[in-house]
Amino acid sequence: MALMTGEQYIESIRKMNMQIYMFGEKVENPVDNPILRPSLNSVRMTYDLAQDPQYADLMTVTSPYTGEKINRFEHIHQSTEDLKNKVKMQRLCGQKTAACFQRCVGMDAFNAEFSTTFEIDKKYGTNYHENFKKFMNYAATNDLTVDGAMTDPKGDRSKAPHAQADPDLYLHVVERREDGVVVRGAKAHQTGICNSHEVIVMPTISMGPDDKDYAISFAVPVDTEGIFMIIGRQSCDTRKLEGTSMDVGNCEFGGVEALTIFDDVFVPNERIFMNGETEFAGVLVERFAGYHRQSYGGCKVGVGDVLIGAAGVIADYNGAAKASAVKDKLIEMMHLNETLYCCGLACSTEGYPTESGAYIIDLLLANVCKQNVTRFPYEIVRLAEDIAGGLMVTAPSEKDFRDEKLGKYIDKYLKGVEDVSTENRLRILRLIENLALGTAAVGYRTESMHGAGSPQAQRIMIQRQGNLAFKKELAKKIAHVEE
Amino acid sequence: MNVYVKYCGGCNPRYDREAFVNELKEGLPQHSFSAQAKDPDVSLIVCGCSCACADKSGCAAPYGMITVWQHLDVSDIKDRLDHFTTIINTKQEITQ
Repeated sequence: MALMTGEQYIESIRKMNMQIYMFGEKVENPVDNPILRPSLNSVRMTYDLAQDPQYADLMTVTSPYTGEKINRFEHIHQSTEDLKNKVKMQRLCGQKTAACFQRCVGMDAFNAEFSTTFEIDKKYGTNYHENFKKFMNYAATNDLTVDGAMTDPKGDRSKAPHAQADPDLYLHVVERREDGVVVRGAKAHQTGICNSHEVIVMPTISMGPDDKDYAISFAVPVDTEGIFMIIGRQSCDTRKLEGTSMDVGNCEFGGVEALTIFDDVFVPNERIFMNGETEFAGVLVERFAGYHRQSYGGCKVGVGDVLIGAAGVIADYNGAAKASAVKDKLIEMMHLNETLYCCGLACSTEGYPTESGAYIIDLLLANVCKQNVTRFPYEIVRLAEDIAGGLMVTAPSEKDFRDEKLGKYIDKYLKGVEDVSTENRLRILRLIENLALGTAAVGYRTESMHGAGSPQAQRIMIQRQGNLAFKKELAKKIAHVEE
Repeated sequence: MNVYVKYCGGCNPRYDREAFVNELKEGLPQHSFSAQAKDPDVSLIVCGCSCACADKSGCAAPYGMITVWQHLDVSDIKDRLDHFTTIINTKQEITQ
């Protein structure tokens, strides 16, 4: 099958029988639900861009396994060039959606699974790599969106999975059958799962011998019996129900997360990629996290491009664009944003082949990348708010703006420069609000902090990989220290 | 002359690539610019920045390739296409 068009993707999701809940009710038609639809549109963009000659060079690639043209989101990196192109593609998608486009987790899970299953098979003579390749080629050939599910609820953080008071706080095998296993548990913060065809489940931390039932990785369709999703709330989410576009800020695109329950889900043997090999749980986690920390050096930069653009536009609309202080703030925003991009590209450039042949990023630089992502978007947002002014959070609603009696006053008193309409000024302010503290702040701010691992997780990796001993020796040599 | 237009992925373009190609289409109506690689005489690789990282495999054309990574005047491209046209015409004269 060829690449899907955006419309074909939407219809393919419509055909699925997902169990989705929101506000205490089952969502019968998630595709057309006004709160969920913008997130679906963001994933759709990854299909639309692949069809566009202006972007196809980044969005598509020839599969080295099937020889078919596939979406890059289903590609196994064959070189450092591929790693760099991944980051570039993510920046592009961020620019086009100003939101989380959700398809990266699957791509990063693909690449982490590819090399890890290869190494498990090498040690144990298992068949996980072939299982995974079969699934991967199926997903790539059919241009499916695949979610990557890693984060367990984790309960008491001081205890290992097997030692939790409630054994289900980490997803685990509850029954072993001849033809597969039955799993129970949950995965939290599942970005884009309700817009995905399949989900790859992975363990969430390093594990010891007692955690055998928890060292499980597999892929199943998202509408498999026993899986259901409870949609996470986002700040200002119900504005999407008001039937107006202005106050939403970004009415076309968005992100979505869900607490996903696996309530005794059957997984057939051919879809299992790890089953009890506890020492490889940490390897899989580290690789997935590394790829995902690289990803943020692309996707957040693309969203940052939109926010910087919005700050520039509102400076124009406010008549403040020529003020040197405003110009300097915009320069600072661009400097911060491009620094993140540098990090994403640097860890890609320094990538190397794993035993499986798939390329992986430089883990130290990928962790430095993500550590910066936990900070710089916050500063970029702060500067955008500084330039925008307080009106971004105090402006009246669109309904008031459209009101026969009130509208003319809003139009008159909230006007900026003469040649720009009040409506356009308010639209840009709402976009900034959306990214700074509305629905998109989930992706641009808190996800920058905690997505792909919280800041301390990167600091641990930087400590491990930073080689402080080597640096000490350098200093001693230069200072002629003799011990 | 049939010109195959191949774009880079466009992650961080420093100019509007599409507007540039539209300028060429308007300014050089004697040539045909298309993003479909069907019997091209020349390939025009339109990159957004100096990295010029577009994948050029599949872009081979009988009279070569022009790579652009910044906004150029239409006349610059015209000169280069005229050069190729001269080569084609000369070849045709020799053949005849």
